[in-house]
Amino acid sequence: MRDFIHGILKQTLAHPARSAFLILAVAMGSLSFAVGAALSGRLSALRAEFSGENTRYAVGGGSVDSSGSFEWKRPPQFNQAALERIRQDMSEISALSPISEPRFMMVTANKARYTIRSVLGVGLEYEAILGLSLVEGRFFSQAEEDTASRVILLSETTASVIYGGVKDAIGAKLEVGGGAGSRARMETVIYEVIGVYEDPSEFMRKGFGAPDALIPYTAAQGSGMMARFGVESFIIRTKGIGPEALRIKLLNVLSSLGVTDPQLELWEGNPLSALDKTVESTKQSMFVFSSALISLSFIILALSAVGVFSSVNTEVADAGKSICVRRALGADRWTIARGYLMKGLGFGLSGGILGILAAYPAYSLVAAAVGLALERLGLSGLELGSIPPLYLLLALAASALMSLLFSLMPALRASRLVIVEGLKDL
Amino acid sequence: MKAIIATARGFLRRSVMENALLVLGISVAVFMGAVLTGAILSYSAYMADLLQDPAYAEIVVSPAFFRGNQSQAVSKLDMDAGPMRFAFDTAAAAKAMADSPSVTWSYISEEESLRAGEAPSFGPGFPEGPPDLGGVDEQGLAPAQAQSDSSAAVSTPLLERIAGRKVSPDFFQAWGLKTAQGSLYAAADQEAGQAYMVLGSELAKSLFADAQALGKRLKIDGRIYTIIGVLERTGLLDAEATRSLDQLAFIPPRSFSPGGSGMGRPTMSLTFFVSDRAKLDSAVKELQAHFDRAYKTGQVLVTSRQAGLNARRSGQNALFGAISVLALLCLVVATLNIFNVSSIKTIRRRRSLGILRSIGVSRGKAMGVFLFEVSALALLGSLLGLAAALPLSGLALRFLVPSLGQGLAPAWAAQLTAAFLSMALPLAAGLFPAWRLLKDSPADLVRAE
Repeated sequence: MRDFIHGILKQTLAHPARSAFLILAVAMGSLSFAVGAALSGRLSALRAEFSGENTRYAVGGGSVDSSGSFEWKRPPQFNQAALERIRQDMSEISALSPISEPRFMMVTANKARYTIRSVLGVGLEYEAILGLSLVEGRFFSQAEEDTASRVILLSETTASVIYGGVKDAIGAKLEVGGGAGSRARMETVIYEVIGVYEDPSEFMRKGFGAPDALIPYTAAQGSGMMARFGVESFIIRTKGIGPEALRIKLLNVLSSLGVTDPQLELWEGNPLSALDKTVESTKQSMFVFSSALISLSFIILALSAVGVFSSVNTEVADAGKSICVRRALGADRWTIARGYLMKGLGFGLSGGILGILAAYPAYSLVAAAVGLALERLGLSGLELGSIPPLYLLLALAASALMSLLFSLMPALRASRLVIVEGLKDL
Repeated sequence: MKAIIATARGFLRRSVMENALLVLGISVAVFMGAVLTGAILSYSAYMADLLQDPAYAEIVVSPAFFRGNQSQAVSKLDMDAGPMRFAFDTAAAAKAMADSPSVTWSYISEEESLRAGEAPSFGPGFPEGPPDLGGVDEQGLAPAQAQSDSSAAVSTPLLERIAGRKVSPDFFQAWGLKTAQGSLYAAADQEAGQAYMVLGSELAKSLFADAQALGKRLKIDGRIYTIIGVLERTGLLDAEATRSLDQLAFIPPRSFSPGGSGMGRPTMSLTFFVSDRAKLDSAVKELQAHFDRAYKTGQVLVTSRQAGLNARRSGQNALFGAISVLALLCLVVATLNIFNVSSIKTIRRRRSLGILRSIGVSRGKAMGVFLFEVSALALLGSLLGLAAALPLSGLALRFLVPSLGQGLAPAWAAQLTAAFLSMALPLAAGLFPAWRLLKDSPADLVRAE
């Protein structure tokens, strides 16, 4: 180790400017790899939160007509029995929730009136599908869903604004004007707040339509004639099935239930906004970012090691005679090669350490730019955080490995020099 | 000169691996520079063109409680300016125009999906249609027209659903739309509740089997419309940039009165058009001030479509910025590599250069050796980078701008310029050590270090 450090210092002091530039180039490679890999990893992790087994599809009963518009099929094709059958028959669906949109024109609490941005009527599994976490209270029960109970869950912000606090909201009454799901616009119904959930992220809100308040979908449908309608759309969480296969299976289930001319479309996104592309385009943007970052950073890392190759190569060319003398005096090939490999490794490590030191501030800058880009492309509220230490170690290791790899060829050439040829030149 | 070139050639041949890696570095830097510059300029040109579209001269005004406008999870309602007090009609637009000198036109313009045939039924128990529409049926017609409709022939369109727009007559003026056949409807027609329809040029050709639409009558959602005009082909997209105007049907909005006869639907937005784009920001301020006075501060939201587009553009630019930083790093690393290698080569040839200078070779000719070597590497790298960049620029555009990639035209000239500039930096860095060394006198060069 002492020899190794001594060798590096000797080399650096012999050609300080050249070594400094070489180490700077390696540092840039290491820096870009640390930042690129960390951001790419973070974006891939975010993408995984709504891909693969976490894919959520909205299913809408209807079809795209010749003008390109989505036409909801009336009357709706999905009722309670159809949804239960889909849930039973399709093991690929891990959770399913019907969706309906009650008409909450305005709500009244403590003699003040409010409008809630979005309210959804959902099923029991909605909580699991969207990954909502309760802050206080509870989700509604099967019995409450079956009996269309007037119970409501509010997001943390909604509860705080209306009732002044999360705890104060539980058990409180919320008067809804406009008759949720009812045709009678002036009818007033009273809901009881039974739970408060954590505010959904901006992305979950825009992408998947995560609401500010939830009621059982049966309550959203109201009573009487409206209740016979069924639902037009539902949201599902899937595992191991693509959209086309899923669509075909769902159509088969509908056909088996006797639905004539079953029609449905699937999209990853807000179930109330047919064929919404927000999630799809966001995933695509993330893929673009992630791929561009990792590929570019790897290319820069590889390019940065070219200097190491040149440096070691030149040294081998200059030291041909002395290598032959050392070989003649008993040094084996591995000893010769190891010396040059260690030099390459030294450059890789010193540049790598410099690079990861600069990676901390650089990551913050690039993450801010990427965050802004994603926000403007519709993916706001995502936390890219600070650079994880694992990526710093990875960058250091990659930088060292790349330098070692690029010094391998000249090192092998040095070890294979013919002793006699070298001694002839003396 | 021949001897110099031969010396340089020999040197290039001796360090094949090293030179290949340097060429690779330059080609990657040139490729990145060319592709990224091309993408940035193509996108900028596309956006500049897009901003000339009339849609981006529009300012949309709508109530803040309108769900699409709500930025907060919940908003406390000021009941003095409650939802039912909003009257977004031509009279409200005229008042706003009087207070906003920067605005040129005002009109109603909303998307409308038109269904051929009777008004939709919502199944048993709801024959009169969806609960919130207030009854869209033949009873909504102006009395004189309703009478004539019952006797005249109605044509059946080939399309079941027609993408449409509910627009007041000034929309046509503001967007500069002219008819190829027939005429446009006027404000008096709108006020009289005339069920007139104007078609985009492509829709007019495809709506009926005989490709003749003018004068035909068709039933839309239970109401009979007469096609009174066909627009000239425009190629413009609608305000939401989703459809060509040539494929749309335009109908006049019907008046709405809360608790009244149930004609039409309340209009939830007004659109203002600013002919002089430079006045867009001041128009937004004037309109916001007017509506704040009319409906209390914060109750009405005034937004220019251009602001939305600018936000989208800045997001894409941030993406370009992040990737540009990496591309720049790529160029810097390639430059550092060529500088390092060139430094080593120069030092190793110090004495031979000194000898050349001593026997009368000029500084310029001696520089020629290095110029040949470095420019050969830089040129080869650039050519390889460009050879990859030009055919792949379309693919790169689709990758970097997924939403618009296919609609963007590659900027070849900019790519060539970027490639040249990307080549210039490594070239300069490669020549610098030799230039610096050759400033020494021949005697200094020959003297051992």
